[in-house]
Amino acid sequence: MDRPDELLSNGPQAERLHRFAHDIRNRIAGMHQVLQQLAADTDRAGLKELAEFGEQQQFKALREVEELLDDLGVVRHLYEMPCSTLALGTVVRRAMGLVTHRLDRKQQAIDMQVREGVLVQGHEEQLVELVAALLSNASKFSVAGSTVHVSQSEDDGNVILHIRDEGVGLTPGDVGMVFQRYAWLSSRSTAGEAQGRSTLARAREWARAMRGDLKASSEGAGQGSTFSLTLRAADLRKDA
Amino acid sequence: MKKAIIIEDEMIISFGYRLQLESLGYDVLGTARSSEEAETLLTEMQPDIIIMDIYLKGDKTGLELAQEIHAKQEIPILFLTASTRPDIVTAIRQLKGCHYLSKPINSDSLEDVLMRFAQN
Repeated sequence: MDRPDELLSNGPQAERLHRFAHDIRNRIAGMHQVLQQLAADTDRAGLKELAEFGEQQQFKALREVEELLDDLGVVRHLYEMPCSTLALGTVVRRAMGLVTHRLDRKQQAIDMQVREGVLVQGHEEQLVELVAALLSNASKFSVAGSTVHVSQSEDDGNVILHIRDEGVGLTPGDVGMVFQRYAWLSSRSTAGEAQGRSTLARAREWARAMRGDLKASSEGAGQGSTFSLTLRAADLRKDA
Repeated sequence: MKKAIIIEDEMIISFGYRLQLESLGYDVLGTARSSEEAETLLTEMQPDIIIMDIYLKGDKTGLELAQEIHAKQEIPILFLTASTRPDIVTAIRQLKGCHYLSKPINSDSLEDVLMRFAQN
């Protein structure tokens, strides 16, 4: 990922913009808390829809802040993370351990087809977090009893980890926005789980900071989604 | 029941965290609005986890307070922050036993991180 030519990240303007964004996010977080409580404590007809409208407005406001920071070149992510050689299977198994509670609750299974001995370059803790975030996302947007499929392929010196769900899928419009912070997508979680709307954006930033990438694809609404995480190979199929 | 304390200067946000933590089965021992209040609270209480903002009222930042706490005892600290400054995120990552979530926080993300702390 190239660094923009003119960075404001070290200047007083960027410092002020970071502070501004921080304060706005805090105000919105406060309103978010109020709305959540109002919506949680009532069954009154129409109020849940009103709360969702309020949430949508919050995310639009947060999105406006992000676009301003983007336009002004204010850096909010790491460009590079220190990487080491990692066994992909171990990373995936650790990530699975972090989302067991979520999968168990919806009686979902993981079909894990990652070969032992596949080595990749990555930041261990961050890569585990990243894969866990993708598994958690797959669980949230899939119905109870479904399966999340985890597989791996190789391409041009890279290893690609595919996380495919059988869930609500993504419309073409959603695919284009899924990595934007606080974008309002048409897809909804299947059991009322909260949707952070910045997790996937951060996941892609982490992937890129490890000199990899993260892409999303879907055949459309109701057709499930696949998130493909590209990582640099260290020594493919050591055991082959 | 796991015990938590909250260090956050915004009352409404602190209240929201309390409700979320209680719904996840945590007992919130107390809340502090500044680094000084937090230090007093920590002399009186022994939480299993600390939920803390980065920018606190008082003389110390959350990062400074976390280092002081960890010099005395290894209590897991979860930073909940509205900041996306890379230097802040890096500083949190470098602190052992610390994690962070970006505001606004949702209960699912909070649950995921608390489960992670519990496993570790």
